[in-house]
Amino acid sequence: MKAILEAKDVTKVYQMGEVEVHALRGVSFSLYEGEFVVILGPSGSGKSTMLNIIGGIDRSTAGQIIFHNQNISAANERELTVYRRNAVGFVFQFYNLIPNLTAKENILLTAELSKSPIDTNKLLDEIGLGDRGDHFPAQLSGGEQQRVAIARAVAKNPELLLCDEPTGALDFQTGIQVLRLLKDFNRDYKKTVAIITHNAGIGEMGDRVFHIRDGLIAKITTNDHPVPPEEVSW
Amino acid sequence: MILIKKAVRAMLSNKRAYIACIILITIGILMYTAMGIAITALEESTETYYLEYNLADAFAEVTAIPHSGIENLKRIEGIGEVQGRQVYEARALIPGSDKVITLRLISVNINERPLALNDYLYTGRDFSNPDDIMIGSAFLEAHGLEQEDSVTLIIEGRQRVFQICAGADSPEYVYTIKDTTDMLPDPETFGIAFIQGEALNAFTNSYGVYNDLSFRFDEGYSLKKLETALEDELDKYGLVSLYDRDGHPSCAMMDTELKSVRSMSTSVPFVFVAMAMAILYLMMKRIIEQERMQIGTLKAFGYSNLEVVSHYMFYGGVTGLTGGLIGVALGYLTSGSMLEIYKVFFRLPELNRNSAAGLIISGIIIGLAGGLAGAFAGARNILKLIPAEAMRPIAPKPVRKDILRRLPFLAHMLTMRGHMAVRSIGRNKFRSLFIVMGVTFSFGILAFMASYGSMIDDMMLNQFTKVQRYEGKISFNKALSQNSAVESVISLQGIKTAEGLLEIPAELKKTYHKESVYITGIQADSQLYKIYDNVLKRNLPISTEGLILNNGLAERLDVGIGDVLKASTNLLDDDIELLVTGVVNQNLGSNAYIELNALCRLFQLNSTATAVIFDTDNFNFIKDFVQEADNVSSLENIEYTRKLYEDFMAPYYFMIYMMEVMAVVVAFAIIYNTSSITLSERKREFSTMKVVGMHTGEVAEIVAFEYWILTFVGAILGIPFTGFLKEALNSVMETEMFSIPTTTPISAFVTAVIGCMVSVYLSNLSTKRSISKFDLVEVLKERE
Repeated sequence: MKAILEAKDVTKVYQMGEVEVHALRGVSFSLYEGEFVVILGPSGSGKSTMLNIIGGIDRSTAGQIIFHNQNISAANERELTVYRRNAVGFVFQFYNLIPNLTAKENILLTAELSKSPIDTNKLLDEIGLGDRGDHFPAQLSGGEQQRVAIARAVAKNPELLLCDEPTGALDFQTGIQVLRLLKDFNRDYKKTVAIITHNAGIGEMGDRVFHIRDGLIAKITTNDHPVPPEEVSW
Repeated sequence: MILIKKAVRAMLSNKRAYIACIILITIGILMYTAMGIAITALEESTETYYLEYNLADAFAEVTAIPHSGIENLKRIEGIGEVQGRQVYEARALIPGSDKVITLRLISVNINERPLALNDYLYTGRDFSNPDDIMIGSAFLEAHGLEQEDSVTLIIEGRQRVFQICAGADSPEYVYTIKDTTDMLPDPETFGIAFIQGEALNAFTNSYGVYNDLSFRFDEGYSLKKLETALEDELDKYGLVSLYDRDGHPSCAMMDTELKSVRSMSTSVPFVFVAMAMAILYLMMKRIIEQERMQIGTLKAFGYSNLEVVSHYMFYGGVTGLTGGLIGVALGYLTSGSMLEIYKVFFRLPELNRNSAAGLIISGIIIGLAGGLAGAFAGARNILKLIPAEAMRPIAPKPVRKDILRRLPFLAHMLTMRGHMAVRSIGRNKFRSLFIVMGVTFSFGILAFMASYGSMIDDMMLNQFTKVQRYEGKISFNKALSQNSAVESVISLQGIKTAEGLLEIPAELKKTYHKESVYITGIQADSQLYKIYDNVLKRNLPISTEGLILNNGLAERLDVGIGDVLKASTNLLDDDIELLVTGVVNQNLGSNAYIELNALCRLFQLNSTATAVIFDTDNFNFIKDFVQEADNVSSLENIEYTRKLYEDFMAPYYFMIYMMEVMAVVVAFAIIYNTSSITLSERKREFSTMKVVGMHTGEVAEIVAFEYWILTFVGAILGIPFTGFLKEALNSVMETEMFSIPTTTPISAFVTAVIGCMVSVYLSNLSTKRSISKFDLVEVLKERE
């Protein structure tokens, strides 16, 4: 498979007053076209930091992130914005929907940014909310909100979908539905998906699993036979 | 497009706060546009009028100058044109009028029209026979006279009847006053008229000479440069006065009005726009803090800094643009009313709003720019926000030793809720400062409003009740013996008491400061004329040693007690020195007082008077006397003059009233907005308190206590601010005619305190209502 993103010896140090916190201590890996990656690790291990740096919403202290031969670590603010706009879709643990926009408008918010967006109505049907597009987030359940958030992330048809604990605020059944949507996007649109989670069970559905501990990739495992989301348990 | 929807919904959900800002911007732009359009129209019309009708550059009054003298003047280098005229004042007998009416007759040579200098325009027919007269149109309107009516005029006992052939106006008399002591035009008692030179010669029995001169200077020359040469030449013809446009009563009044309104239109409106900007800044700051997560999300999805900042500036832009559009629309309408008022005072052939477009556009731009700038100031931190950081909660501010720890006795005095209020003030310094400033501003304007009554007293009523205590005043054409003047009046039926008064026109000079005034000589034991001080609230003794000046005049001359002034008059060849012995706080006119006989001695006059002041039972007897007397130039009824001033001041007071109403709006808008900000910031905290068992009232008390403390501080600062506000307003509105009193009575401060307390109380009430409506479950499950 062709690598679309390469991380080379990436470190991240936060300055908290007089204390330096080493969130990443030199991680190197590649993400390949169309693969489904699960990033596993306990709280505070550095997995969110890693995702933020890959997604261009935070900067590394040292090291390089190369996306299709473009060095994201050296990009200026404008180049980073273009990268996020064209290449990356985010799904957050707490959905981060805009409260005074309807479900459909939340999806359109990102679709408007893309040159080749996915049809909003089609996406609403795919997430099972075709008839609830005009509902505001406050009128939707947590699972429904997360489905809208996924639709919003994929609407601009990004090459890379980054999900930070997408099931963290959901019950098991709803979590499975959300994982199904992510897997469908990965399969149907042949896009790379990276999920952060601390639930080891979810790792079983990934093509590869990154095990993060203390700011380092402890190991990368490959699943020759990833299981469908419905068979995952935690 | 989607972000616009988001902004519109957000604004609608908080519409009261945005409406408050829109109102403030509207008021600012309304004032900017209305005053700007009106004053520009006045300025342009005046300039055009002066230019098209050849208003002279300078003027001189002489006893008599022959034609040959005028030819000599033309030879002076820098003099382009000289025009000689005869100007006389005649008593007009208008049937049905109970006033002493004066018409200033100006000679014209009908063979030379348009006149090289001071041309006139007329409506009616041209001169066709020697008895024709053209009279000022304001005068005709005031007396209901029409073309072909006849009017009887008297000069020095000679009576003649003239036929009105036209109504006429001149650029020289746009503001038609007799001299600067009049200050206000009154077409019922004074007007101008044009008659043919030969007819005026015959009427006045003066042939071959002129008593009035007008000059046009060559380019690069001014009166300043030519004054000495002209004075040298004119002295032999009995020079009475020589002045340029700045010294011309009509031009000077116009100039004063233009300057004071122009400076108001470019200062006061911006105070309102600045207040709106400050509120928008605070609101945006709150929104940005609340929507940190959303901003991070937008950035994460690829929205650029510019797009996100523009989205938040849209809130301010819509507010500013709406305020700007409503402001210019209302301002345009108001400018029409202002021009109608101007038309009453200034006689201009045209007064149109031709150049309104520029002000309308700039008004909209100022509103929009104000809104955008206020919003940008509040939203600019977005630029620094890194998306990943934006999606984390804000780190709590480091806790320093607060006031409660520094002052343990205060901590003991307060309840836990009091502690929270005091700490909130300390931890939100900018917000607290803004509330204090808002209360100070509102307090100042409210105190200003409440002292309105005492301002009228100080400005006008005191002048007519405590200074000029007389009921009437007869002014004479020439100085008379004091005794005979007083006796001639006191012998009239109905006169209760009478006193002589000497008024000498003089130019007071100190270094480069010059002021033209009338020095008033008052009888030492006068009961009818007192030097009343509006601040000290008592009479100052009349000085025999030197002049007592009113504060406005003293400031313009930059003199104080003990300084020596130079005074030049047409009574003496040389300037004389005058000591300033006192400064009296009076807000109407430019006043210089001295004891009557001391004034006579200074100017080497025998005991003389130019006027008699009196109290009477019946003005009608006086009127009959005045109508028959040749040497009387005017009869003043103080009650009538007071009424004229009240009419003149009405528009100004209307404007001040407008500001007062706005002060209440501003006070409420600031307090309401900041309290709603507090509420949304601390929603979770307050909900927790309710969950643990506190009543709504107890929770609301924390906010209320905080606001009472800040209101107290704001009100204390409001006391000096009120004085500052009055000084500032005085500096833009002060003219030679009046100044704004800068002292404030205690009662006004009490009213301002009550006004602020009511605003805070209402705002606290609204806060309490909001707290009672909190959905505790919703609020507490929201992510921090």
